Amino acid sequence: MVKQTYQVTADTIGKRFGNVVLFRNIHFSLVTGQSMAITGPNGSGKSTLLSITAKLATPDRGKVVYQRDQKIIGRRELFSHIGMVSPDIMPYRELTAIENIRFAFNTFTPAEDHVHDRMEALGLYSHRHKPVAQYSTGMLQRLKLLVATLGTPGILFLDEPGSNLDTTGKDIIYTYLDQVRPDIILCMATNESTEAGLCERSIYLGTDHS
Amino acid sequence: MVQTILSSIRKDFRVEFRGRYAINVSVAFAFITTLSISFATGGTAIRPAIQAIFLWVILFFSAMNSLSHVFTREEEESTALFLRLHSSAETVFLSKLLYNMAVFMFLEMLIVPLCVFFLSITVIQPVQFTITMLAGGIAITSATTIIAAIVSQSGGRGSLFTILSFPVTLPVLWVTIDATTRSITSGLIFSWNSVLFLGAFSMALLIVSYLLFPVIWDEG
Repeated sequence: MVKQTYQVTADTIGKRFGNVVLFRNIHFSLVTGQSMAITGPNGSGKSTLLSITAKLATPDRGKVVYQRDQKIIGRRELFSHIGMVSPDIMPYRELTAIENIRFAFNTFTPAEDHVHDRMEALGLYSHRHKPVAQYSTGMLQRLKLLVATLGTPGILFLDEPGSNLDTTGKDIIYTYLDQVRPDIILCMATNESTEAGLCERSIYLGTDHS
Repeated sequence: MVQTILSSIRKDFRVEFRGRYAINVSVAFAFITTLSISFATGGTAIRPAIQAIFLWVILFFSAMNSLSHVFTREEEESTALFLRLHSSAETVFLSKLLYNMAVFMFLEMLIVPLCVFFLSITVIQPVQFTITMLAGGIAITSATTIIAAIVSQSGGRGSLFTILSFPVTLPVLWVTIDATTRSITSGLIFSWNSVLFLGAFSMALLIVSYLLFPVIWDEG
C-alpha cells in the first residue's frame, strides 16, 4: 500500500472571546511523521487551538490548510482522514461500544478481528455489549481512543488523552502512539509532561489577555 | 448514502427508544390534553370544525418536544461533534428528517384514535382524512426539522423551538384543519387542492432546508 503524505499548515491563527485574546499569530506546519504538543495553563486556549486546527471551530483570524499528497483537502472530506479524542466529543451513551463503532464506521467497516484485537488491547472487549452509560470515565476515555484510532487516520488530534486513565491505560496509549507516530501527524493538547514528551515539537500558549 | 442514512435512522431510534424521554413526554401530553378537553366539554356536541382544531392543536404541541429533541439531544449530550466527524451534513439532515416523519406518524397513530374516541369525531371520508393526516404530518416535519437544527445551536432550546415553528407551520395548520373539517363533516366537499398545497409546501421547504442545512450544521 502506498503511504499517503499529509500536511497541515496553520497560518497566523488568532482567537478571542469578547475582549479576551486567547492567542494570536499562531503559525505552524506539520507533515506526516511529525508531532506537536500544545501546552499551557488552564484557560490558555489549548483545546480551542486543537479544535480550530481540526476545523471543528473557526478562528477569528488566519486559516488552516490541509493537503494530502500535495492536494488540498476540503473541510468535509477532512473528517474521513482525522481521528480525534476530546472531552467535547462523546459517543452515544444509550448505545453499546459495538453499536457506536458500527455507527461511526458505517461506510468503512474495519475488519472484525481488528476491532476485537483493539478492544482487547484497550481492555474493553468484555464490556463491548454494555451501554456506554454504564462505563466508568476511564473506560469511556478508552472507547474514545478506540473510535478515534480504529480507522487508522492520517492525522490524530488528542485533547488530554491520558485524563481519567490509570497507569495501564496510559501505557497502552503511549505504546500505541509510539507505533503509529511515524505514519501520522500527531497533534496533542496536554498539561502532562510525559504526554508532551511524546511529541517532537511543542507550542506553549501563555496568558495574553490584552 | 442510503446505507449511512439508514444506519443513522437506526441509531436515532435506538437512542430515543432506550431513553424514551421525548416520546413519553409527547404521549403523556397528548393523553392529558385530550382527556382535559373531553372532560371540559362534558359530553357537549362539538362542531366538526372545532374537533379538527382540537385534533391538530393536540398533535402539533405533542409533537413539538419530540421533533426538536432529535437535534437538541445531540448538543446536550455532546454527541454532535461525534456525529459531525462520522456523517456528512446531508446524511444527518435526511436521516433526522425521516426520523422526525416516522415519529410524527407514530404519534398520529396514537393520538388520532384517542381524539376520535374522546372527542367523538366521526370520520365521513376516511381516505381523505388519512391522506390529510399524512400530508399534514409531512409538511409539519419538513418545516420544523431545519428549525430544530437552528434552535439546537442556541440556549433556551425547547421553548424557542415551539415559538419559531408556529409562524412557519401556521399555513400548514390552516390548510390541514380545513381539509380535516371537510373529511369529518357530512355534506362538505373535500378539496384535493389542500393536499396539493401541503405537498408543494413540503417540497419547497425540503429543498431550501437541504441546501441550507450544511451551513447550519458545519458552522455550528
